[in-house]
Amino acid sequence: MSPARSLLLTLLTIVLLGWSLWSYLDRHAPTLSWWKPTTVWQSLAASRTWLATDLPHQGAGSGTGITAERTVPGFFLSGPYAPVLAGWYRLEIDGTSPTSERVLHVQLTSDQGETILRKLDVNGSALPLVTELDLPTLADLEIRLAATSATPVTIEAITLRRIEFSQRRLRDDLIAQLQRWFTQPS
Amino acid sequence: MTGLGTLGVQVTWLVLAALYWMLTAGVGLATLRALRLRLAPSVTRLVLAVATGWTVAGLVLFGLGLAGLLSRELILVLTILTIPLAVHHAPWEDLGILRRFPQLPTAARTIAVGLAGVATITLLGALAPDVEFDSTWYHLPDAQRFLAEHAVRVHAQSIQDIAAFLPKLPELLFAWVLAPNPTSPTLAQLSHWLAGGLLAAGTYALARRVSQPTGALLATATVYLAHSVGWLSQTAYADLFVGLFAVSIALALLKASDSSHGRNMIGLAGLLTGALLLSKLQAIFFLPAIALGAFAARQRWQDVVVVLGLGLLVVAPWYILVWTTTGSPLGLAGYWPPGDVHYGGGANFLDWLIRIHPTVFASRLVQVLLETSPLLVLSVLPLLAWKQLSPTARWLIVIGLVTQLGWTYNPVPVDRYGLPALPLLAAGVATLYTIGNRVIRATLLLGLLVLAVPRASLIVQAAHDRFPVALGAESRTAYLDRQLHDNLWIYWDTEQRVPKILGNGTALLLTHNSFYVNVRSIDLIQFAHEALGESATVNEVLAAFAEAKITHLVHTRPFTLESFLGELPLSAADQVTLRTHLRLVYQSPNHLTVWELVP
Repeated sequence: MSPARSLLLTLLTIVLLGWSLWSYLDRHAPTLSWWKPTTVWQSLAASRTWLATDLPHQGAGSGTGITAERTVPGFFLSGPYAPVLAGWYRLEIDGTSPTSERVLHVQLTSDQGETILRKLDVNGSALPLVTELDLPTLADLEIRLAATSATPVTIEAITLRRIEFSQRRLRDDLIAQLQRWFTQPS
Repeated sequence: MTGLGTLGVQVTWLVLAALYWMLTAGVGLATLRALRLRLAPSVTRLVLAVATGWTVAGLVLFGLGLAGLLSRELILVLTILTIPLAVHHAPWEDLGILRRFPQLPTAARTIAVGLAGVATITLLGALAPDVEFDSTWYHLPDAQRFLAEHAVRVHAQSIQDIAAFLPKLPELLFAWVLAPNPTSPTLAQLSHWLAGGLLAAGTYALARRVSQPTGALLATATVYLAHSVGWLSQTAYADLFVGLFAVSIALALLKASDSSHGRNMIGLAGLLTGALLLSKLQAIFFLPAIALGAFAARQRWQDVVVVLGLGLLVVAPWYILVWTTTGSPLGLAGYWPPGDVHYGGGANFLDWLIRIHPTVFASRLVQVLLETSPLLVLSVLPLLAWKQLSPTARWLIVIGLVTQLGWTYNPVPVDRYGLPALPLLAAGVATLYTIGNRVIRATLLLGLLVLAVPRASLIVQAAHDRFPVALGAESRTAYLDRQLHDNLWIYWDTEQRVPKILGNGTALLLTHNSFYVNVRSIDLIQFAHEALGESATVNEVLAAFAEAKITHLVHTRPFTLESFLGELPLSAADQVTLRTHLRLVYQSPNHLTVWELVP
């Protein structure tokens, strides 16, 4: 192998391995308590998982999740009110229901629930739910769930995985934020 | 039972498991010899022997099941009769590789010791009764039902839903090891653990074709430390069998490329392809990679036809059985929920294939590799040094990529479905180690170390919960109580009172995961479909109950009596009438509820 090719291979190995190990640790970070200490880091994190029992909820709690049926008024689970940077994400709602009929109405909101970003109706057979989302930069992403069936549905966890950042939107968000700072009356 | 008693039981399971493993390897070696494949003792031969042994055992059990002869007694008699054959062909010589351990370089020995540690931890984990979802939902209950019905049948309507139509080789192998005691999952878990170990061993054998021992062990660790392999090794799932059959196909095709008995090796690869297809529906996505491998072996298109043809021939009876039962070769497993986000939002598979797949496959490819084992991302780098690569290394990397690409065609992207690609991609990492300079080698070993620390800690964390029961410090009942008392889906009789209440009676049962059911029972959904049909009156229902000797109705959380009655083909008014024939006799702390039928 020529020296130039060998050098290229070496550099690629180091860079690719560094990136992949970093991503790997990031994806499996929820199981490592010392990982992700700050909010800034949270918004950069590639994967975040929230246990249903840790989120604001109504309905019956158990060791494995939160169970609700349509007799529970409004949204039985809401949260995590997390910061999100603009990008393409995969949302996973880990849950189960014994029926194949429609059991969940899901809303993604921001601005303390004022802005509804997306609505989803989910059948029991579609759980655990995996869907992909194009999200803007948000200060407080809320995912709220309402039970729509007489058959109970159990939610165990919600995971948000970043597939890729939207560089253009991040740039636009940054410019907009700077504009707000400079044009805001003191 | 605690302490020494439980420990004695665990040791008994291990001895029995070792006997089964020896039988499997012996049957496999005898088959290889019958096919005039006299291989020198090696890791490759050991892996091929066990994979072949499981294939033969699975097909024999399948045949018995189709003939309605799959009784525990016959299985045990056949197993005992096979012992002399197995002892004669036991693979002791193949284990001789362990004697070479002291001659390995320090790095290789360190990796090998680490892997042995991980294998020990997961072995202990496998000694704890299985409480995972799919195993208690259908992998193990299927095996129990085969033994109870003495047959392999497709129940078009049951609590198993689409799982009832998936091919059943792993479940047949579980039926084999459940024959001595159908209520204990341990031998099934230990079989799956062995499949995981042999997946790693097969990776080593594959990587040794392109690398020295340290590079091959690096590849082995990349696979054995993969995120899904650790927990799967402790359960009775199907995925590690799929991984083992896939790596065995690769080894057989490699042997075909360089041995004088290439034609018979191609035949063996075809047989193993059948085992792969008979283990998981999603294995069909790997057929292009297998076809490419079959061609690569001897550059003969006829070999592709033989391998794929034999594979399809082996699996055909299963799909014919599903077809004759349901009117469709895939049964409900081919059902596509319209607009279901779980299936990527496509209107049907073709829509998903054309519209959705091109937009997601690249991110899926990278994502699953990162989640599974980050070193695998490096497997493509040797392609930059194409001229330095041996033809074997080139083919392994290219076929690995095609296999991984095949995985992206799963509408539901679950990382464990992609295990067949890992050994091939890991061989790419071993190639990089071989052609790389000292900096690259040091970087790869450092990368493995960074990967190993959190992975090992996660495996220890997962297994830690299971150590007390595995080592006899906690009884199996206490362990299951601790694990299942608040589980919504898995039947668990916390107070062990239901058998006393039912006596000699039979329960009509509505529970999702039925492996730990401790009374004679009939699945409600299956019964409603097969015994009652589209509609019935209360009197017809009661008569059907009497004919099936049903004395009680039993349901677990999250089901209710209303959801139970809703499964019967009764009008709303008749459901109310039937309710008057039911008397609540027991409800356990975890809402396991028993209703007695009264006149």
